[in-house]
Amino acid sequence: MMERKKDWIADALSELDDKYIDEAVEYVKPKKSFKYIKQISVLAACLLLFVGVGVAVRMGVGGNKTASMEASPGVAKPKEETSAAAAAPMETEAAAELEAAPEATEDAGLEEEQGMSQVTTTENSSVILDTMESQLKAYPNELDEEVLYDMYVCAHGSVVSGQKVWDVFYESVNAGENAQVEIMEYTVEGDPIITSIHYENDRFYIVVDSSRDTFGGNEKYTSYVYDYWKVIDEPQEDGFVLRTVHFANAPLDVFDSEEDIVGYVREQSENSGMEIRTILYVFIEN
Amino acid sequence: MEDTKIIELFFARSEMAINVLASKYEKLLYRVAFNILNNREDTMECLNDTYLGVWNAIPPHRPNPLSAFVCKITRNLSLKKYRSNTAAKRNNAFDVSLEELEPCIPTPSAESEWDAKELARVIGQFLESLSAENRVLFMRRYWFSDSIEDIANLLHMRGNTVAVRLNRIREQLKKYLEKEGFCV
Repeated sequence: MMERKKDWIADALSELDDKYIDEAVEYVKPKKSFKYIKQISVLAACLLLFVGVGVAVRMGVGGNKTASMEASPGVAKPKEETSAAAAAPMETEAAAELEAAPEATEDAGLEEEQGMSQVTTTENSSVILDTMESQLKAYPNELDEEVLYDMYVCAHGSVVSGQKVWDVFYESVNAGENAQVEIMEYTVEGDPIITSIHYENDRFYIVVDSSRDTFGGNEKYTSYVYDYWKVIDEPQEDGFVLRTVHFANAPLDVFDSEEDIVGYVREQSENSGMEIRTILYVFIEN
Repeated sequence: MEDTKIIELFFARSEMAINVLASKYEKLLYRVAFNILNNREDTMECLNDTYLGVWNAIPPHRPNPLSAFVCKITRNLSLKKYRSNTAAKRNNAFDVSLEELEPCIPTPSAESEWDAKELARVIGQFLESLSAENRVLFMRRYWFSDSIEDIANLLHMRGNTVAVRLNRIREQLKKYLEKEGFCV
């Protein structure tokens, strides 16, 4: 009887209106430990002053070329070893369990290695991109060690930290598993630029967060969708270090080698009057 | 992230929805399940089942508030798991909190026509008569099965104060139920 009563009470409590549950949840106080965060923020700020400069390049191809480059006037040469960067997979156990769940997302289809496919920014894409933007906005203005720990951090064309994060991301993408990574680079002035890459259903969603770039333009968050990816690990003699190249509907015959890509980037660089010493990665979109 | 955005992700059938939901609510859901099950493995299983349940429920549902929706799923799954466990788990947080509440709730008899929904309706009315803080206190203790210490930390009270307040609330509840025709 006692067990029955207990069940009865438990069942009755389960029937209570959602508003009481919500009210109780809202009473949860945020985490404390501001003091600690402030201390490591100071350390991070000091770090930012001394780390090198990375360069991100995004280009348009095929009659709609637009280049947005950040050049480094520094003298740092890229390191010989250039294999991967870092990534933070967002896969949780729950997500893994749901791997077999039905998916209604449109399938752009990552075609053959040299194939091309049409990129369309659908409503679903914008939801994902909005989510990524929200995630980026949730980061504190001064990035502390806790945040940086999960990122692939680069400077002077070499990896500062997060190699393993990148490796996990890279492996996940190659295995066709959903994954996400945040890459952080620094501008010439030492301002951090975060690029978030989310891979899902054979498609790459990219949001670049320039909100901390005090010398940047008005556009703080820019989004891209790609469905082709090629990683180039070879270092370049003239200082270009290309790690990942993402194509979307790009004429691949133009870029069938690393040299071609480097040449194209250099051309863009000269045209824009900027000197580029290191390039961490290149995104090429249609 | 706002709940509406998370729901949109579910509607978009993006697995990112699960990740975002988990990052926002996993701590809370873990607590709900663990307070009932008192076992990490069972708790994690319940959380995974919760995410799957939410995935299957949204769409078509568009719950508002989302927090209560997922908490309820977790709690129901945890209760189911708890009951299916053959080895009775005594003295866990769930048992302790319910045993506290038992003396002020009538014992259901074969003749009694009260069902859990009716009791819930009356408890709901009772909660409306409480201050917001006492309501939260009641819910944290008897719905979430939080410990006195956890509630004290949450509401910035001393443990002793929480215990006394809960005792008063239980007495009030008992009187209220009697007034509503529930013979305790």
